[in-house]
Amino acid sequence: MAFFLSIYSLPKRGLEPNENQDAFWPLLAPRLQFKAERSQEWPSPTLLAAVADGATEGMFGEIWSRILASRAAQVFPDCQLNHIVENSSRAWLRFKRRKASAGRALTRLPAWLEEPGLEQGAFSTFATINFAEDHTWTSVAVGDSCLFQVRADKLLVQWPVQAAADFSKRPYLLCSAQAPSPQLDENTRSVCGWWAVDDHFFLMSDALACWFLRKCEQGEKPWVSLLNLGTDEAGGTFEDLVTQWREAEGMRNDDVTLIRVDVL
Amino acid sequence: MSYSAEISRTTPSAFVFIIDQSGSMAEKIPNSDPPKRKCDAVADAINNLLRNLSLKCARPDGVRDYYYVGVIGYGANVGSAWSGALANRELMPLSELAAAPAKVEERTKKVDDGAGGLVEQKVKFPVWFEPVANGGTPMCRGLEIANQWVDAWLKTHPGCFPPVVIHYTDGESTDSSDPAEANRMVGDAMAKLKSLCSTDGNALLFNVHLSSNPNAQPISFPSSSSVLPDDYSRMLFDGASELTPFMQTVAREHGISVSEGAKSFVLSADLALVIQALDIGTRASNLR
Repeated sequence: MAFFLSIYSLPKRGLEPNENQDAFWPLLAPRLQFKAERSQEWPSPTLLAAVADGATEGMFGEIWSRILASRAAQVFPDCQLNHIVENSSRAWLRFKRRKASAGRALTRLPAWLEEPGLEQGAFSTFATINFAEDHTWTSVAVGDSCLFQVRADKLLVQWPVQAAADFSKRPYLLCSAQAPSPQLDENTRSVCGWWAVDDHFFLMSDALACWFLRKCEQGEKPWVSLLNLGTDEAGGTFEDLVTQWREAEGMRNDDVTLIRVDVL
Repeated sequence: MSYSAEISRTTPSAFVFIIDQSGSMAEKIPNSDPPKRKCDAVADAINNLLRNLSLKCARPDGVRDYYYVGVIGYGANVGSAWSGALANRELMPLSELAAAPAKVEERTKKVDDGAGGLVEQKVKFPVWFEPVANGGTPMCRGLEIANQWVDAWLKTHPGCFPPVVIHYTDGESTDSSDPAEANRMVGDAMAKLKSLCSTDGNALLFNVHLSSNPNAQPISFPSSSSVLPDDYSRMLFDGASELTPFMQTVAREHGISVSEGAKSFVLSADLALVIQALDIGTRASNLR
């Protein structure tokens, strides 16, 4: 039993790859952190994949989203969100203290701006999927990053957002300054299911998820385009397709990340 | 005309504040505790807004120019109201603004101590705009300058999210000795400002009426002028734009009940409402 992983991530149109505030796990090729496409076989019976979408309104969204995605892997196979948040918040504090102890400014910003920025913290959505050997999967999400499961060319699971129109609502975001709380519990969604050989799972940030759901609502099968990626039928690279979807199909100009997991 | 244009560094938007700096702005806000002059309250609110806007647009490598900002004062003088090194500048990119406050004060604020109480914490408070209260109320001249700035901005940014203009006043215009004529002139100037547009919609005008009447009932974003106490309030109501759907959503987040057709008009004897109006007028749904 194994998985095949394909990961795609692009910044907003007009921005540089290093300005992408989405983060994901596994990195697959850490040295190619900002490469738009990567894929490889995952020769293990267990797997954790995570997507975190750092918020634009916040000074360190990309740092916080990377912390969340990587810390989820660190506590794996424990996938309780409270533990991921505690672990991530400790990492955030270490990030702040390390910089402070070095006695130098953390940013190129004036002190009156840097200090409240750090105090305010950073914000991100977050979603994981955890595959276990017993053919079960579990997913935890905060905010509007989404999971889709496709089996035999049919959409089996769409989660946690159910309709494209719901993406207009402001999602709940995980804050780096946040401790586990009843409010966090109220806004945490979890779901589980079974996986089978030849299933396809798609974990994605909100702009792509909104496009995906809208296509489904129009009776189309958007997963076909995503499954064709990397093949001759794709009609271009991921970047080509996202550009086309932004220009012709109303996809919001946002950072876009897709993790595709094929069960082999 | 959908107020949906993206706000980014390549497609920035603009905020213009028009501030009444007439002598009456030195009066205390009714029922404020501790007592606060109107001009001080407005200056604090705008400086705080600019601080928060800078924070929202800051990244580790610098402040991003999602917005250009200008402040116009009218009273004994009429024109750009920036203090310090920025004096006389017109609309300017947020990064330049963040780099050059006139001064940075140390203030205290009360924060949650984590045990159910409050403790005082020192914070750095940048000041770009100083309180001024002097002279008459040449409102039309202030509006005319805003008109020129917004018009010039739209010529170079024709596809932008429309500029948002936020106007604070406590007094009646002294542009004419005849109050009815002065009201008509102000109404015309506001209509002209609102007629300016990008391909994404018309410029949005907020009117905040800082009432001196201790019995004035605060009113936020009404959809009818019938509840307003006088012709002057009704003129400011008529001059204000309708709230966009997103602004209506933000108003509801603040616990304010708004209906379809709600105008961006606030009659306020309450400082909290002044600050709420700023948040509702300046929060973006589509920052990229």
